[in-house]
Amino acid sequence: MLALSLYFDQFIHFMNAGGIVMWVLFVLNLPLWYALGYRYFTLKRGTRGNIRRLIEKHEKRKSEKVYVGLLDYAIADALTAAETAKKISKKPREYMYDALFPYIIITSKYSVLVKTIVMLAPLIGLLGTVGGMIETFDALQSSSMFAQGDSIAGGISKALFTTELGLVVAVPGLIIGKILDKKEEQFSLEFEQIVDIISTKDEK
Amino acid sequence: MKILTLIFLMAFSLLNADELSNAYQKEFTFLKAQKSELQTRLKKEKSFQKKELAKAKAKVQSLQNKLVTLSQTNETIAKQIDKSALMLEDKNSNKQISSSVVIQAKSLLGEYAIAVNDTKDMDVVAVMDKAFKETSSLYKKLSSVQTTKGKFYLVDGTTAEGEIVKVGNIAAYGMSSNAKGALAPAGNGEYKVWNKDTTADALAFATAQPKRDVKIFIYENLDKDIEYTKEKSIEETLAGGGTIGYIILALGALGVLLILARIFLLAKSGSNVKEITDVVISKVEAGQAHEALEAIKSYKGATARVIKATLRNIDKERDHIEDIVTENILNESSNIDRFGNFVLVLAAVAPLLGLLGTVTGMIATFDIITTHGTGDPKLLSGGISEALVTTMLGLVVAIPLLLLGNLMSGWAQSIKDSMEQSALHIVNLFEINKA
Repeated sequence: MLALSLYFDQFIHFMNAGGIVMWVLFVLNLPLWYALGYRYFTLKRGTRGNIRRLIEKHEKRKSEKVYVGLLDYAIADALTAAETAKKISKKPREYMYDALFPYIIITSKYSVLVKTIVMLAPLIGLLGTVGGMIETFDALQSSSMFAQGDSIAGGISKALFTTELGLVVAVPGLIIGKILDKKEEQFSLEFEQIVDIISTKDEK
Repeated sequence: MKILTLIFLMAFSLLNADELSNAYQKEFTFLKAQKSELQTRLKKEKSFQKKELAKAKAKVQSLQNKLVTLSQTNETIAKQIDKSALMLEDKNSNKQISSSVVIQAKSLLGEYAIAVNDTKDMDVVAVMDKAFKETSSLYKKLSSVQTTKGKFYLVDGTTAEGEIVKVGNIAAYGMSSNAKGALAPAGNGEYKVWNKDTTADALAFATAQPKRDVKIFIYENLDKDIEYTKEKSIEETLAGGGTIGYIILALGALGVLLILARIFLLAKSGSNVKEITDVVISKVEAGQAHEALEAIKSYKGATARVIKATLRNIDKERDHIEDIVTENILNESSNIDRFGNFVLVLAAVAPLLGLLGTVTGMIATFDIITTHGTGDPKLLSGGISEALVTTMLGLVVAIPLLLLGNLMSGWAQSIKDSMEQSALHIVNLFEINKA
């Protein structure tokens, strides 16, 4: 418990050494990780195996099928939409797009936010750096020969800490964000595949 | 004969044997005596050697002891030498410090016409002692309130004779028959009356009846006012950025205006997508597709226009409807995307302009270096701080524009997507209902 409060004190000290920019970065960090977590859990595939097999399974088992992932729900909805279209003897493609649209929205949710924060964090760090340098040079400007006091060291620590925290915020966000983007791309390809497979099946 | 010879021989040999044994006996005793003599000599020799060895060992021991003591003394002497070297150094630096103190005292007290004798063979301590005594008396004198006769300039430029009340060495009040007030330095050791009305304060000082609050003009010496180092205000920081700083700020203001316009446009076109879709869907599901058009007539905005166009053509063929929806969305998208790219361009340009300002600031700094050298850090840091201010402004403008611009594009994209989606959904529902 004591160690924990010690760490907390150190953290506060570290943050205050970097000035207000540090807190901005820290606050930006929270939505970033919320968005990354949200995307991680929504982009879980759940089921293994390729799309063709999944669709076959769904057609065979119908309602007994246990849904384990986003893809299962998407395939089920697409199949229902295709059936509805078949009933009124229309092409099922449009109906399936209609049914899949909510899933596309879910898979792309927060991706812009993640990208924006990852882009902004180093810039904000740089802003803190520049602010710190300005403080340092102001201190130089108004100092006499030997009395270059706290504000120089303060400015430099501001300059360094903010860059550091900017990168600390941005780099994991960048890496994990890219992985999740790849997953999202995979999902949109698989949705296309679902639509193509089901619509060609019915045209036979 | 034979036996005779044998007996003879035997007898002879017997005789001889006796002689031989005697000889041997003699020899044996001789050898024995020699052996014992040799043994005693050996013993002697051994004991002698032992004595010698013991003597040598003792000698070695004593020599070793001597060596140890010698090396110990050597060490202590070396330590003493080090110590004295340090002391010498201390002494030297002390001497330097005291001589610099004397020089300082000479230059400082010189201003108040107090001589400090610092010829080479003077006793430094005595000189310093004297200087300190004089300094403390001067300090007492300077930190007290004194009244002297003197003259000072009035506001209109004329001189006035009178009393000058000196408050230490940092402020003064003038008292003359025609004007009273706080005095400000006029250069050359002259005073002038401060251009604020301080008659009452001057009177209070002159009559030694101190008031609680006095107006006072504080100066550093008679040639110079006190320099107050001010906290830099925002305006001053901005002015540090120069022309480029103002250009960046103007671009930032433009960007903020465009963002506001964009928020307004997007809110107008995107706010009612769900509402309109719900109204139309309920009508279409009830099989009243044509009444739906009437129901959403009052709605305004991009979504309303797209859905209205869809409903108007809902009886047509599927491909036809899709073309109409696409065309309508394209038509609206020019409005929805308006300013979007421009904001992002501004966000991209602002840091570049900041960099430009940095480079020009650095050029200015190096110009200063070529003309004045690197001696005074104040001159250099001015230019550098100017260079950094533009970078900071560039980032300050770019960061919000980038953030908001990106979020706006996401919003615009989602509005377009949902418009398309709801049009598609309505057409699908209509066809399902019709069938």
